[in-house]
Amino acid sequence: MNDDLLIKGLKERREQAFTTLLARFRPRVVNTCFGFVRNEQDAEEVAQDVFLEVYQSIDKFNGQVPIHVWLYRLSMQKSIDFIRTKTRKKRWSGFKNFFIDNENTWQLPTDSDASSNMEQKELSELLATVISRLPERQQKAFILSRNEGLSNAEIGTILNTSESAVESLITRANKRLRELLYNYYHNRS
Amino acid sequence: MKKKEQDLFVESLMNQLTHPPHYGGSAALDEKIMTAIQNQNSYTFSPYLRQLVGWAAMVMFVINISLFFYKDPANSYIDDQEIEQILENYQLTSASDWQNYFSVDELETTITNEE
Repeated sequence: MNDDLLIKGLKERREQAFTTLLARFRPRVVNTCFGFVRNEQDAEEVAQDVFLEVYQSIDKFNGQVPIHVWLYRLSMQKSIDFIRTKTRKKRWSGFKNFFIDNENTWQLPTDSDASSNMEQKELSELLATVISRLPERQQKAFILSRNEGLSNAEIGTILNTSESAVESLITRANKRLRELLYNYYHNRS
Repeated sequence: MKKKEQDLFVESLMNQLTHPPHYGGSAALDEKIMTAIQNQNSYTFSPYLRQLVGWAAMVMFVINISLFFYKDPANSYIDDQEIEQILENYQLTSASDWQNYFSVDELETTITNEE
């Protein structure tokens, strides 16, 4: 099924078209979301939102860009929104815990793997946080380049910019990430 | 020594960022998404109908609000304070004062006598 037929099927709400869409694009969408959220469960949750958005907004898709470009754009925007909401919720729960001292919410690790899982989780959260501190366009360019392995030309099409601008975005992202990690190390020690 | 430790830390994390693991999801996710789509399909109307329902709800809301503030002249109740205010606005004397009945009577008598 080529892209035109696929879009036609999606607009007609055919189940076969959605199955094909998932089979063809699910790995790319999930991996892109994973690049932002750094957590498998969250990445699947965001990917589900992306495909539901496709279902709801396919009538608005005008075909000016290939469908995979549209999917990449949706995945990136949904991931950034997800991180924003998560950060807001975290801030709110911190604020709530400050006033409501609920001892029952504390959960102690029960087995020996718990500490290594915790470390892994903390590391993933740290990487996600560091990436989220980059300006939006740098985040997008960096993840499309590193997680998806796309060329600068492909990233340029997705971000609607030139190849040289993408190159510059990635270079600045690398530099900024290093700075952020050094800052984190200093604050930790 | 500390500088070396710091560089190692940053490099190891940079390595994870620049060479991230690939995660493409599972077939179970496809099923989950398809179920979510089917559920959406059974609960939602066409986009136009949904828009129409939205507007209808908005109009109903406005009507309800205006009804809330509307006073039916046949059943409306005017409290004493409001009556006093009206009398004051039209520079009338309050009828609640019993002496005023007499003053009105006197006025009427005077007018009749003059005629």
